[in-house]
Amino acid sequence: MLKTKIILLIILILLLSSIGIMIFTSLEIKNSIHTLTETNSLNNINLIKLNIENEYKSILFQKEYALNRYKEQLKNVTNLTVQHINSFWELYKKGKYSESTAKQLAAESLRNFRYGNNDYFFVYDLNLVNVSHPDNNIYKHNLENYQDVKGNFVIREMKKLAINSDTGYLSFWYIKLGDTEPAEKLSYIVSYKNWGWIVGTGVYIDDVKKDYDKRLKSVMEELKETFSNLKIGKNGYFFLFDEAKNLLIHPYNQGKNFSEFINPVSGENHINELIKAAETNGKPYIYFWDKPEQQGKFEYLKKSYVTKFKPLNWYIASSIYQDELDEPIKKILYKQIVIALIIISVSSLLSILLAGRVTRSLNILTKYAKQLSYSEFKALTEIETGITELLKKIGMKDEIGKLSNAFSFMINSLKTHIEKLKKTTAANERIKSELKIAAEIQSAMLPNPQNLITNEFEVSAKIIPAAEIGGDLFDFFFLDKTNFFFLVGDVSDKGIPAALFMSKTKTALRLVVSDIFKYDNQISPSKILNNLNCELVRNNEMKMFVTMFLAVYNLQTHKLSYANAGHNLPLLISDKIKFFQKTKGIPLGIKSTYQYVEDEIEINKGDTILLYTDGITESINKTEKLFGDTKLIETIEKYELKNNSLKSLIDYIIKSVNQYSAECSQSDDITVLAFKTN
Amino acid sequence: MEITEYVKDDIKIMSVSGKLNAASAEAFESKLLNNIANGEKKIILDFKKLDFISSRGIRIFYKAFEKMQGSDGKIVFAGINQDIKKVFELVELENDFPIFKDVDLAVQSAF
Repeated sequence: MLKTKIILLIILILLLSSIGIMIFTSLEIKNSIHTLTETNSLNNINLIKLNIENEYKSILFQKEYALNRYKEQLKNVTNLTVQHINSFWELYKKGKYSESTAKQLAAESLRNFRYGNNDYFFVYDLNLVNVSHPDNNIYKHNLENYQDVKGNFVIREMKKLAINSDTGYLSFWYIKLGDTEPAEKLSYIVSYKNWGWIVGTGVYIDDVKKDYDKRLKSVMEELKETFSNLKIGKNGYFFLFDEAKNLLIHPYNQGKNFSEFINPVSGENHINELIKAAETNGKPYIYFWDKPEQQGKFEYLKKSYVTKFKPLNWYIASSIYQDELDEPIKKILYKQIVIALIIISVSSLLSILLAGRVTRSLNILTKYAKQLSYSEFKALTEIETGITELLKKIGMKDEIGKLSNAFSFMINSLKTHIEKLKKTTAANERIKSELKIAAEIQSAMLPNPQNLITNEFEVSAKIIPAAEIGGDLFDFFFLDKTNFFFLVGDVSDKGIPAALFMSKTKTALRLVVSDIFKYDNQISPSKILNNLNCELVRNNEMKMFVTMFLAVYNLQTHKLSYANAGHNLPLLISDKIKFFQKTKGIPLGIKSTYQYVEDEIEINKGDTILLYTDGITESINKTEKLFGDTKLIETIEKYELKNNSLKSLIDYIIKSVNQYSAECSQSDDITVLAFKTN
Repeated sequence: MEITEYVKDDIKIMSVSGKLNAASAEAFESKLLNNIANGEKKIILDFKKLDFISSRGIRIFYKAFEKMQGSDGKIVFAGINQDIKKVFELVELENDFPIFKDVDLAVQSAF
């Protein structure tokens, strides 16, 4: 039982603590995983943004570099051309050519100038009429209203620049042969003021743009590679979209335009919400979404962190399924459960072993304790040896040891006590058996049988000592044929001293009565008392005394002569119940010189005389109230005397007294003697 | 039973309360006999608060009376109630021991 309890307790404790640890760690880990993942994805999108920024800067730098090279080239070749024109002006100034010839020669010669990718020069006057151009469709034509594909008035713009800034760059767009998209042509313009000419050249710089696009494309490819490698949880991902809500990079919807996409759960424009989130400085957009394996089931909570890369108007976003973040927790939990189960089973095994050890010791102790009672303390030495051995085995340090020690101590003291008890019991037993013998002797001193029925009268008596032996006495016998003698006495005190004095009294009484009868031949109750008193006073150091009422009934005269030595007055039960007349007389054994008196009454047929000791009237109930004379008379009145024996009357009286004092132990000897004439 | 003792005008007064029965008699007896052995000549037993006396108690008085015989000592009773008076009458105690109404009267009589 104890063993099972201990094991169950240990398992319970382990189970509870395991569950506690699991719950605690789960919450902790969940918290930290969520925080970590969110911080990570936020960091990741910022890293991606930084990466894009670096790439973009590099692309921009390349673009700028290429552009500047073009610009430098345009400037250099144009300056050479301007010097070439100026050489003709100088010839005109020196007077070698006329101004118109010089102009004519300069313009003509320029038409054949080529550089780079068959690039050429052009010259316009301030009326926007072409002065020099390789194309005959343009040469000498007014190109004031000439526009590029974007609608710019090309020559007007050039004039404006020439007048305002002397030199400068301009860009125009044309569709190249075989192309569909307009290509940018960068032009450099110089104002040649001597002749009011606008000199310039232009190169297509679409290769710069192409190069830029190529590079941007490769950045995008790189990003796609990066994005595909970045996973958050099982299905979480990063994606990229632009301001036009095109999904530039997306694991499932790449290339699609989501500008009209409405979140089916929230009813919000999905991309708008993401764009808004980009402006919240690191706060996520939380929404419900479906999963690739369960499309259309918009039940999974997602978090998206979004940041914007402004130079390209790109939005970098992360997308995390919240439930997937809990996956590692589940794994940890499974591991913990396995570990906990292992620990619990190992501990249970250990506790079974340990508890077995503990309970084995306890069982041995219990066995001894049982043996102790079964063997009625006879096997003490054997048990003591057993416990001493047990103590040696288990040591004294733990509680079992202490218990065994205490048990051993208990047995030791038990042993001593039992030995003592044996001695006292033996002594008690001796006294008890002696008392039993004494009681038998005492009862043998009383008349037997205790009732006598003759033609003339009936007598019955009963004595109930409070202890084995007592100090009450009664007696009845025929003095001669006509005189019947009876008495009741009560020795002061109880127990052995009273019993001894009672037997002394009893013996003395018989002696006194036979003496008187022998010498006087006359029956006198007072004389019996006087003589008995003398006998009892002699050698009465202890001042024991005995009260006694004695009477002699004359069968012929029907007269009862009696004397009283301080005893309760008897009752005369006739038509009425009344006490005997009070007569003088102190208890026997006190004063040797005391002279007792006697009295005589006539007894009618059917009258009953009841003698008793104060054990009747002085018996008390639990409120310490005496039974008393009144109650005695009441009891007798209640009893149907006529048709019943005296013995049953006595039994009835004693039963009533016992009932009265039921809850108190009998404190005094009880004696009742009834005498009835027929 | 409780016994208090005090001396007034050279008279030893033993005031007994409660019940003088088999259980308490021995204590009273040894105290009374002790006083006599110590030479107390005049003893008043104040039984004003004594409720009950058994035959075992009566014996003590006779014993004490005997011890006093031959000396000029004397024992008197004071303040006995009706129940105890009946017992005293039964054994005719008043012939040997004077009985006073209370302690003051007993003291005044100065034996």
